[in-house]
Amino acid sequence: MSTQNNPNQGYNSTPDLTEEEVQRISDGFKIISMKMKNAATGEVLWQCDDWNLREGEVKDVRFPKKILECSEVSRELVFQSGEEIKYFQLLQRIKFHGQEIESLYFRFGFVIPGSTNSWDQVIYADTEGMMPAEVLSGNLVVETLFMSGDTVVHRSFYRIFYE
Amino acid sequence: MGLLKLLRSLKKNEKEARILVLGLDNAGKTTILKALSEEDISTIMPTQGFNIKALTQDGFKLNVWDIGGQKAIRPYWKNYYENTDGLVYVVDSSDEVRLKECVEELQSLLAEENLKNVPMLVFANKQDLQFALDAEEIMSHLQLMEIKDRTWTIQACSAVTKEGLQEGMEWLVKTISEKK
Ligand SMILES: Nc1nc2c(ncn2[C@@H]2O[C@H](COP(=O)(O)OP(=O)(O)O)[C@@H](O)[C@H]2O)c(=O)[nH]1
Ligand SMILES: [Mg+2]
Repeated sequence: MSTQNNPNQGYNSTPDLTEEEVQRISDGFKIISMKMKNAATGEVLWQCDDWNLREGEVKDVRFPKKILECSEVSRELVFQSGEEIKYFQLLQRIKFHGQEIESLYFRFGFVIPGSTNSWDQVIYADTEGMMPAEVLSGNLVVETLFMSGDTVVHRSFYRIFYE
Repeated sequence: MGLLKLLRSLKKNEKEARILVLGLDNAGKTTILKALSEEDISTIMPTQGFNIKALTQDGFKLNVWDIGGQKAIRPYWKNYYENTDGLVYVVDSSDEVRLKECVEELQSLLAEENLKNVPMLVFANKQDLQFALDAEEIMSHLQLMEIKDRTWTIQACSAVTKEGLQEGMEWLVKTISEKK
């Protein structure tokens, strides 16, 4: 995985949501699936259609080692929202042995009430400078914060193993 | 072929480009994007929200937004107009019954303040089907010749055979780059 864009580009200020509004958005929000693909060929390398996590739970995911050999990986996340969200944005932090090595920010803006949406991000990898799978495996944790403005409405963690 | 190649051609001039893909439901929007990414197009479900394809490299970004086209979703389209650099309007060239609806939606898009002067690519899709109208017929139904306030083109294509897809998108990216 390569370095992505600057995370400090969120909304300057957005109207505060009431606690009830945050709760409703949060209750209606659900990650449906995640897919890793070789972006050069479209081939699906890994897929998970059962992403039911409790708050704070860390999910173990097992990617095939050959993902590390792809110079262009595409990651597709499918999520549902029951509620309308006006200033939807995402911040993802990748930690290696607890230390942040990369972050990724994406601004979605408006989310339609009752919608299912997908976000497919192509990630360019530096296959030359890549650490070996044995070193990375089990030591990479990805934290994803889904936010409405500045308020976190959903947080998920997954730990990556390569096999 | 593919979106990655497009990003590279954009890179010389651009920091970021936002492309919005609209059209009636069933026109083939999602299939076109999947086909451009070399992905499987056999299991595509009707879009109930948006599909984003985001590419980032060396600080350059290309974000393609495909928004669901069902009548119930169309009132939400306007939330996605802002900061659009290029518009793709996809037409099912085999669906003569819904051409009138297709023209009306295009007319109202073209009248949108937030989409003013935004270059437009019209995909006359599904050309692989026997009774598809050709690009010239679609052009006259959509009254494209009357558009004076933006750069536009029409490209015959098929998301199934991939004919025309890359050409169309290359035109759009090039036009966006030159405009800025
Ligand atoms: N024959 C043919 N079918 C197509 C083509 N493009 C899309 N389709 C089909 O049209 C249907 C609607 O496609 P979809 O991409 O979901 O349309 P959307 O609602 O505009 O996103 C699907 O069954 C596709 O397989 C094409 O170029 N040729
Ligand atoms: Mg669709």
